[in-house]
Amino acid sequence: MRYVLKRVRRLVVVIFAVTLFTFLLVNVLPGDVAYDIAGQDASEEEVQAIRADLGLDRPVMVRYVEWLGDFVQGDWGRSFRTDEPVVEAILSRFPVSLELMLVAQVFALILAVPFGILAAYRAGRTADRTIATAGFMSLSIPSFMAAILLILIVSLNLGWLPTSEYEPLSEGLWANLRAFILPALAIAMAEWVILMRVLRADMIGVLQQDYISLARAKGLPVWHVILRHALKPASFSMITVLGLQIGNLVGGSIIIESIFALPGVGRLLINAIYARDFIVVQGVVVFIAFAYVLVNFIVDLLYAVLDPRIRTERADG
Amino acid sequence: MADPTTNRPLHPARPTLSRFRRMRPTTGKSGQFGIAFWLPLAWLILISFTAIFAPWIGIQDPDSLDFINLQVTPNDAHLLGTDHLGRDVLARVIYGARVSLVVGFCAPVVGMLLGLPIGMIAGYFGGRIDGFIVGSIDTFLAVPGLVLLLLFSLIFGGSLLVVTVSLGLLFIPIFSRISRAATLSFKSSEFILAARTIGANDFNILVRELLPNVVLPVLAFGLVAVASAIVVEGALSFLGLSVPAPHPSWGGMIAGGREHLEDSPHISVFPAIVMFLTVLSFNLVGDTLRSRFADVREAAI
Repeated sequence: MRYVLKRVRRLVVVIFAVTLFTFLLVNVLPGDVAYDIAGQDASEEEVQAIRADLGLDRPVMVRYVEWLGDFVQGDWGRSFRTDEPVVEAILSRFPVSLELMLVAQVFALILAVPFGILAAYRAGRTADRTIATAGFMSLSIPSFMAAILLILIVSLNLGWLPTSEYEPLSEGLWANLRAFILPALAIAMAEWVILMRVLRADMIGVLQQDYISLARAKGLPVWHVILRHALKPASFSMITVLGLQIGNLVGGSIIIESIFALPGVGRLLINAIYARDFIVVQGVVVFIAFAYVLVNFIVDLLYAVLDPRIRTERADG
Repeated sequence: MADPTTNRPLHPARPTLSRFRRMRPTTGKSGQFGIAFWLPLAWLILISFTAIFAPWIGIQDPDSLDFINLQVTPNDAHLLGTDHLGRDVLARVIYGARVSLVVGFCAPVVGMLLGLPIGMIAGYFGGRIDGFIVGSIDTFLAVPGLVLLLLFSLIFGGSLLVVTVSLGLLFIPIFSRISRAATLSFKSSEFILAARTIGANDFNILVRELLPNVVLPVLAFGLVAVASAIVVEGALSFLGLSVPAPHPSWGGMIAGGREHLEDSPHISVFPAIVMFLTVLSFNLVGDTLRSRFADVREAAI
């Protein structure tokens, strides 16, 4: 319980720091948003009027405290451009980002688990080295490059998955899911390598354990020993990493979303940046940071629930 | 361990020397660097050379428009073809390398210059200072890197300097963690105690005694950091938020060719291949150097 409280305290501190940092960064600008809204021909008086209208003429710290108060109550302001409430804009787009992330993680797991097991089982041999090399190459392809190559090869040359518009889930599962396949693959290209390496390292350790030797000595087939006896203890760290990656991906799929025209949080952010819509940018950044910290927090807690040693070790550190 | 020798029967009678010789290759630190080191290194030298001497090696002007040859496939006049404005792809790839390499090298240096002292101070003094620094870094890490870069480019505009510095800031956490871990592992060594005994102050110990030991693992990580800096710069210029538009950059070229993937894929594919090879080379060379020179691996941090 002390551990949980300690983590909660830290969560609050981090969130507070992030909001302050983002707010200051966005608000202490050379040439603020009033100039943007007024346009180039506007007189100084018009700019001042807009500024007063938006409340931008007051000191930064006053505005921050006020904003934080509204923020805590769920009022994140309205877009300067579209007048859409920021909270609604984010929440309506979040499911798309979440789905993309989950599909990507499933693809990454499908690649990581078999290859990780094989690499660990044949550690140091040709298969292991081949997988390590393939991993290195896969990791050296930036996601936006993977996206372009996937479009080129899978959609245009093979004609398998025409780059399709995003369809909501109500249009049917397949219509919805097919728009996610290529973007998720593009993200999984780098993800699976990280998972595979973690699984391999743990698996090698587990395979040295006495109970594995015992299982083998009993005459159980190799695949049975690996899947039933070794995989569960060996995938512990991999699941942790998976959780942390989910937090990362909330903000990490920005480029992929914009390439594939998926209406997710990332595309909301990038469009807001192009439009210099600061209040939306600010909201999305805080949201992404919040999601990231929250996921980390949950992973940490789960970890402590699963492994009692953590509770005592980390409580004082 | 993944060590095939452990399963072999022991030969206690064998002389020590030959046993050592037999074991050496299995530790992964064998005498020579293999082809996975030299080939990438050669590529990196080639890329750097052409990028540095781009104006003098007889390639075309990357910004000159050839309206007769729009989107032509590779031929004698344009070795890698031309893009939708008739600009020579080879020339743009080479000039684009300048952006990628400058950001790729300078950003990790910025991160190292700031992260190294922070990490050393945290590791050396410990206690409250350490707690504060580690906490600040955790907070900093809560905002995903790309989001932070987007924020910076929104506020300060896209230019080589802004991209380099803001990308450099993103490297502070990793460099300070590495140097903190290295400092911690050397802090209680005898030579530090010895230095303190003869009256050295904290500053002297940090700079004279610890720095030379800490700098090696940090530098060894450097080349891998270059690879990721190039990737992130590519992502930014892909989004059009790095160097301004007509200036050639790899990410920008890949993005520019997106509209023409169907009829002339070479506009995107050639810069993509060059970028891939460069990133892969930095990763391979960096990883070899890191496993050779740095005992402080990420796992220990």
